Amino acid sequence: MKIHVQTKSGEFEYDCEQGENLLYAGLRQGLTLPYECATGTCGTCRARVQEGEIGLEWADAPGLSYVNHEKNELLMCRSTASGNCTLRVPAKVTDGAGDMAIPGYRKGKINNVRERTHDVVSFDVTLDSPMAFDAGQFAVLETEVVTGGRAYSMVNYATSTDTLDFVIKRKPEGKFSDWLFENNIDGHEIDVFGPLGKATFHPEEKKNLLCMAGGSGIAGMMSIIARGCEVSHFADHRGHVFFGVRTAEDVFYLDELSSFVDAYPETLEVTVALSDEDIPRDLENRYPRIKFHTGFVHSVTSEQMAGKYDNILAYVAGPPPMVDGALRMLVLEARLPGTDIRYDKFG
Amino acid sequence: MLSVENLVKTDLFQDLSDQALQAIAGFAVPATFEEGDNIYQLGDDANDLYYLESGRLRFSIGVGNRPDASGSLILPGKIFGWAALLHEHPRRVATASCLEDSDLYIISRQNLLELFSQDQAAGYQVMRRLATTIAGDFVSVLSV
Repeated sequence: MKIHVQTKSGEFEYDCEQGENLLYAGLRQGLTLPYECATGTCGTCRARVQEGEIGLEWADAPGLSYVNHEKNELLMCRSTASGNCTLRVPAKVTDGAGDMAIPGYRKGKINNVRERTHDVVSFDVTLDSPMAFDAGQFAVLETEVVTGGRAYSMVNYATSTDTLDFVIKRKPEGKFSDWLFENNIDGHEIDVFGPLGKATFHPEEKKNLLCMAGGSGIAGMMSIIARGCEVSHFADHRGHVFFGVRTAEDVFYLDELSSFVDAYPETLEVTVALSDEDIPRDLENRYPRIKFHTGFVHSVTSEQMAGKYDNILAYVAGPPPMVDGALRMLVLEARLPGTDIRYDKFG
Repeated sequence: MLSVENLVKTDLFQDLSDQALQAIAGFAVPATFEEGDNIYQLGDDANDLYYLESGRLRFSIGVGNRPDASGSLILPGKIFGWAALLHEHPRRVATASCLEDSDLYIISRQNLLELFSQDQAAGYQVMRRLATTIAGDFVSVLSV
């Protein structure tokens, strides 16, 4: 099938397979179609059908609240075409993703499932072909067991790799995370679409880094720090990592974070903020390279970062109240320009 | 020109005198934005308020791991961008973008503050309404 798109920067045409969603088809052919979550939540990939028949994959997608059905609008990430069609996309689109890797479909196998906390698991996915990605990007994972894909940031970083690491927090009534937690998923085959996302780290920007994460939002930060260490970014730039969780039982990756600090003890700082309890003494003793504070992560960041915002690029990821609080703090207190704050619109 | 009848229906300006409303309508400047345009983005200086005459906007603060679509819709007849009334170099902590071609009126912060310094009763009424709006937002954040 041919999909014709009318955009603010011209008209384009791309192929789409039967049953393939309209967004992924365009992205895998190098078009920079607008998206953020790529899974039906954010509403960014909104388009208007000018001609053709479209099928909807997920009628309850939260992002549909931004769609005007009377004007034949849809979310490209949740729609399939049943024949040639023409869409109007209200965004500037280019043919070619520049330096970013073009996303594609891969098959993967889940390995090394490890329980990190009572509600967090990590695992890796071995791909059938290598993927190149930027630190901070994500992929959409899909299994035939649960309808619809879920977006998760890669934890690792490699220029091109056939292994992606993920860490996932169990969500209340989350069908995908329930499947992960309630089944023996080691060896399970999974579909992977990616890499996706623009909240990426590029050492050549020569910025000091501020990474603020809540819960499993630490995933993308781990990739960014790994990339920074790989290219010795912290030899001449500062890195400030703030990781917020509720209690000591909820914290993970402390060994890995300590290793990063070991490599750059003068320039890289990791602070863990516990919002719901005082810092257990044994935690401080076990992880002397890491600083611990009580409070919400954006409040702790505000206190600890005062006067340190020179040449800072900030990354934010986590649950909504944390992200909202962090953005307010970065805009109103730190007075960072919006261009120096990066975050993806997904969990 | 922005009509006083529309302006008095807004939450923020509903208590103002005809004189104050006419002053605001007088310095409100019409503007048209295309579908997909951002009126403002996170981190921008907040120099103006806006009245949405026609069209449909999306207002989104930070986003993240939320169960529902983030942000909210702004429909015609609404005032938005009230951060412009806050003290000292206010900035945007949200993004307002057009879901359709939209007609707006831009109400300058500077003109408003000058009006309020001359008509302090109007300033008091607007700040009272603004406090209610902020308190409402605070409650909604706590309930996420």
